[in-house]
Amino acid sequence: MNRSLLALGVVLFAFLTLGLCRNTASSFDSERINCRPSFTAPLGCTPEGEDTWAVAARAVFRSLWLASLTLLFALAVGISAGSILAFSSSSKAAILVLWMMEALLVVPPFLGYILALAIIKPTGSFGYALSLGLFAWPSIARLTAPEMKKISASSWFLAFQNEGASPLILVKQTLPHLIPTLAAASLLALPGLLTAEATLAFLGAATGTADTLGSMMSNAKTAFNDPSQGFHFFAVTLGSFLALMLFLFGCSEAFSKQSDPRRRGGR
Amino acid sequence: MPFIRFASAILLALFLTHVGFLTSGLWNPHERGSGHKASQVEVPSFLTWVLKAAVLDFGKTSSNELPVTKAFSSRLGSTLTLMLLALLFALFVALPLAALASAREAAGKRFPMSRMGPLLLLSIPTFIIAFFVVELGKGEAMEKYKVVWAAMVVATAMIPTWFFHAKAKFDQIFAMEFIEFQKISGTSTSTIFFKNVLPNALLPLFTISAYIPVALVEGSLIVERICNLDGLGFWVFQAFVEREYSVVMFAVFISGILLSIGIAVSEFASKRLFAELEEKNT
Repeated sequence: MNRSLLALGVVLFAFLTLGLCRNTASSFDSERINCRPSFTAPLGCTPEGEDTWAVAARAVFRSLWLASLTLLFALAVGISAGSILAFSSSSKAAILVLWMMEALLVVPPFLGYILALAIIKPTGSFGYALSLGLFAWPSIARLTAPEMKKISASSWFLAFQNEGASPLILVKQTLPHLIPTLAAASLLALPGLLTAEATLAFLGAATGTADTLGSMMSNAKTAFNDPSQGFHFFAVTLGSFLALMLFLFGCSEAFSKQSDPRRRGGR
Repeated sequence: MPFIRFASAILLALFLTHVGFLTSGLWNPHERGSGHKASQVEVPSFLTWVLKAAVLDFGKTSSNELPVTKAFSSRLGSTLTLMLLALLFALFVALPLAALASAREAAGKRFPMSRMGPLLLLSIPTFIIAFFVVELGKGEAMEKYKVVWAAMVVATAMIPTWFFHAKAKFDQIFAMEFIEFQKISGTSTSTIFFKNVLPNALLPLFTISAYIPVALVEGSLIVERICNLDGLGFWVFQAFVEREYSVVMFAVFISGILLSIGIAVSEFASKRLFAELEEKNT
């Protein structure tokens, strides 16, 4: 499994690096519209006359950037909410956080994403990340809170507390212990966010997601109804998306296996 | 008091939706085309909406002036059929596959598709499968059995998750000492499976029941839109895109109730399981 994952990673990296290095047509050339794979354009051209390889590589990066930005927002809010729940569980802020979490929990995430996108109407990456992150943070908070609670009961933490350390220092000391949990959760959340973006763009519900894999697939679907366009554009887009998803799921699984205490002789 | 907890969470979700509509200026009657019927409908205050909802008056749809509940009930049949079929497909594929994979691995044999197959299925988004089904299955058969095809697509999204959960439980039970003892005493694998493994694995599987309504609601939203099925998913999706206040509020309300039931069942199963484990230990 790890060898095939490594091979997939190398192929994906080579595809992206070479794709980003390729020149896209700077001037409009009608002959390049939907051109078939050739020596100059190994993966053919898009309906706009651009090199498919370059466009696909750019789309993978853009999708990854949007998903990472959403994840960062969700991590920031989730960790803050988790800290509030762990360190001041009986305060009014904790009750409000818990209530907010439950309110977001009773809305299915995909429905929530459409709702947030319809309300916020994002025009750029940050607005988009905010829209999706609004419904992604409760899962991070749910993971963070019990972990922080466990750490706050440890002897070294109690010693810190007894010496009068400020809450900020306490959080600073706790965060490094959360890295394995958060890394595993992030690796699993990233493909979910990529799929969400692609689905929303495909269905035409996403705004602010131009040049992503989802919007590319949405553009490429017309090729199915018009065989003269060729299937290469759709195939390349779908192939890049699947390769990326498989790589991320593979990484997530490999990481989970590696951090499994049973593999290290623990209990 | 789970009822109060869920009711307050649903109320907050509805309030946030309402505030979102008002503050973003999204549901601004003057923003849309003057000829649009929706521009005639006004957004009520949240309290008015709640009071009306308490007597099951959820307002009217702006597209055809039908009461929301009537429009909902007219589409409920096709979506329920879709959801039930999808649930059955997912159950009948994921559970036997997980049991087979686990039993083979417990017997020291390899089951090659136990990891790559579900992982591959997990990587392919539902909309792509739905799109392929619609594009490649054009014809009379597709039109006739549209709901069945759509249900299969919704099921593909649920199968990998159920497979992984079920296999993990089956693996855990197959590794237990009393199963080993049964094997040594010469009991057949099928007897061990149906008498010991399956009953012990089914209850823990109820703990993922909170996931079922989510998967079904999301699945119907995506699949009905792509397969052009006039069900609840299609209707709700259109309402979100066209910013129809009454339908959106109703959709949040109904999905909240569905999810709350799922979570309550899941919590009940977890508690029951915990109590049973405690009983066994003592």
